[in-house]
Amino acid sequence: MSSEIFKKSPQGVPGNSRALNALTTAALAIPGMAMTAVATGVHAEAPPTNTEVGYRYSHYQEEDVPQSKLASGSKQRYDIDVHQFRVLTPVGENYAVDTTFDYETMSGASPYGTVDDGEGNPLLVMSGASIEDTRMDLNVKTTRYYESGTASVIGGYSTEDDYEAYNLGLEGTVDVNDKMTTLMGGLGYSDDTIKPTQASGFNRVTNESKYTATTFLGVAQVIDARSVFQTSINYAYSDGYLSDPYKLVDQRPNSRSSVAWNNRYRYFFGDLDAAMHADYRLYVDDWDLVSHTMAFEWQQNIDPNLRVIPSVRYYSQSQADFYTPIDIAAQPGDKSSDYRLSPFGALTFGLSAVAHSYNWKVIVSAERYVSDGDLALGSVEKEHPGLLQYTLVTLGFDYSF
Amino acid sequence: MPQRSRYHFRFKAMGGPCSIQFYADSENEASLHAKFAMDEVYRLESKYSRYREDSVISQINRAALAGGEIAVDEETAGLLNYADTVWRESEGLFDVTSGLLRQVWDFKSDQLPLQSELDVIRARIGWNKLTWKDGRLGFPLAGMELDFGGVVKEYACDRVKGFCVQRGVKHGLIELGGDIGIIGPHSDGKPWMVGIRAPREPDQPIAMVPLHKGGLASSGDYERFMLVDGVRYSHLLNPITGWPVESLASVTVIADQCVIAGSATTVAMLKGDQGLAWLESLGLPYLAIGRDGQQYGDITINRP
Amino acid sequence: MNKKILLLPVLLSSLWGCTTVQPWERGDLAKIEMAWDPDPMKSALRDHIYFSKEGSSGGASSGGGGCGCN
Repeated sequence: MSSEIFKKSPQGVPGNSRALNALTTAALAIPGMAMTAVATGVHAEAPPTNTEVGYRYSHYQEEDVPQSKLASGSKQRYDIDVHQFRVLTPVGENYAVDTTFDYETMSGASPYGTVDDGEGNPLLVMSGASIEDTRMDLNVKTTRYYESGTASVIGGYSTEDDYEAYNLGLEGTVDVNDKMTTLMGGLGYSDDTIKPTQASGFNRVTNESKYTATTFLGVAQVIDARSVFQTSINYAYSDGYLSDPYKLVDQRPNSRSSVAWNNRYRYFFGDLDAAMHADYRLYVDDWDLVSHTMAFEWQQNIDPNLRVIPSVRYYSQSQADFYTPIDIAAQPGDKSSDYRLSPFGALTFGLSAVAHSYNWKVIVSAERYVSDGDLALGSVEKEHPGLLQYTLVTLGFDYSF
Repeated sequence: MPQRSRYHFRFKAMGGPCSIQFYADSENEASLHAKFAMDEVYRLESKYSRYREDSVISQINRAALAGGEIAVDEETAGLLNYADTVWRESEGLFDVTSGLLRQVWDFKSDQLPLQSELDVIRARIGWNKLTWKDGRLGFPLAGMELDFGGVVKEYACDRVKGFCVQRGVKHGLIELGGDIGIIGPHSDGKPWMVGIRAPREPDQPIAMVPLHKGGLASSGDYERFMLVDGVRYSHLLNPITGWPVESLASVTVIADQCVIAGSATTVAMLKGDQGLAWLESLGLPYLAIGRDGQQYGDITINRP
Repeated sequence: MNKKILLLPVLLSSLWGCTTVQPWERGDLAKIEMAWDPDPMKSALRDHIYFSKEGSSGGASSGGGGCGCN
């Protein structure tokens, strides 16, 4: 064989032929070839051809509050089981309906607030008795697939013993620039009502509501044959009762505006048969809370039927401007000692394995989450005693037919 | 990890012998894939068969015969757009309206048609004589006919290939009447070895080609021809002149998509002495055999 | 906030300069492990958990309903 032969185009390596490019473009544009196009294909979305059902069981137990950080109440925090069900089914040639149902049960004690330990540091006050709750969440997303884009309508309903939420959403994508670029956007609306249990005995509110409106705009770009990038801006506005009725002292502003800037990058390492995911999110809101989230995931193919996925996530947030480490009931104005509004950092380490065949997948995964004042980007003067640690275990399968 | 075995299914479709082979964990799994693949081939066969009254092509041809207009579905539109592209790239040599020539060329008769007969037929041949816009085919000239014979078999190969990959089949091969689509290499990663016929001894392989992926199509003047007064007239008819072309003896092309391999070979044959230049311009791996038996191109390059 | 919204068109125009990756070269990009969300159920659960335990949320979607999540 002479070296001249390499001037010819082996498969997959496009020649400089204008005729071949024209033929290939026309061939891939045949709608039925989308199947082949997915296989040889594009990063744009194609309608599913099979019905897919999925189930996940997840369990996690928030670790006990250390005795040294507890002022009163139970040290036992939430123990949570989540059953997730999903059916994704094509309807006709251009539609797909994606239905998810979550059934979550939780039991354990919940933080009521904080008190001074005598040296100016906060101690946690937990509820005494165990609280039981069940959450059910149904979400239906209907997507219409077009030649160069998608349009989706989303409807959801979620209910707990003391909580009810309806949500609606519209989302769309448009492929431009030879499907190298995808523009995306969406609108969302959620209407939530909270009716705290044991309201009278604890002097709690009885029926409060809030609404949240969200909008996002984004762009995804094929960078080269092995990498893609996506960036988006999400704006959310909530109005209504935003306080936590179960806290002994908690009064928050009645509106909140936030902006989240999300970035996602995917790179395929052909010689390793692995994909790297790198995500970064910057979050800012008008409660003065700023957070940074960085997540990395490594999707490693071990053999044609097995993929192993280690992951790490780092999170750091500053405190909300009205956050007080120790509850001061007499303090006028907005105040909260919720650990979720305190300054802290968190690390998550995860490991998943996905075994798959032509029509089924089995997923096993475990994650360890640790939050701590010392993990925050800035220095934290008084770490909140209620920061969490947990290990999450998930088992599940997907089946398509 | 369960032992993967190789399963081989043979069936008849698209006017010839077909087969599908792949590696699967169990016979049950294999037969599910095979059924899926065959159903898809049968679906396309019936959709585009000229011999079925209810086929899409028959509906189109009723409109063509009457000089009417007809709207087509998305898949058919995609195939028509593709045919339009090949027609343009081949400067009119590949033409889905050329099937009418069969009415005057009977390769079993050993008789040449009269030029006057040919001229009558030629007047109703030509992709540019119909209108194709916004999903509608219009036939200003009554009595035309469309035939997807040169595209559907290869398209079916690509479809089955895509379906199988989507269903998680990683190792397999589909063959539809000589056109080959690779779903993926053998389970040990080795390529499939595909034999290429010698044009004058069609049962003898002239070369063995290793294929890891993509598709392969062949075309030869041996498929149908007649000798009249010692002159060989092949079934490869130039739609513009109406006469057989003095083509290469056979051409085989490898491409990512079977439809492309198929069009590349058909056009190379129709191009006559320009066939080699066309193949070179495409830059796809090919093997062409001249009527003197000389070989051109190198098809054994097929990087995994 | 205004500054951040401006970023979008700026990024968009710079990304436009990417060399075209032909459809038939995008095989690796179409792999499931290269998807934005290879396992949507897993991401949904993670989002829900982080939403209930951290002070911030918001991704490239219109979002769902809230929760009590105390």
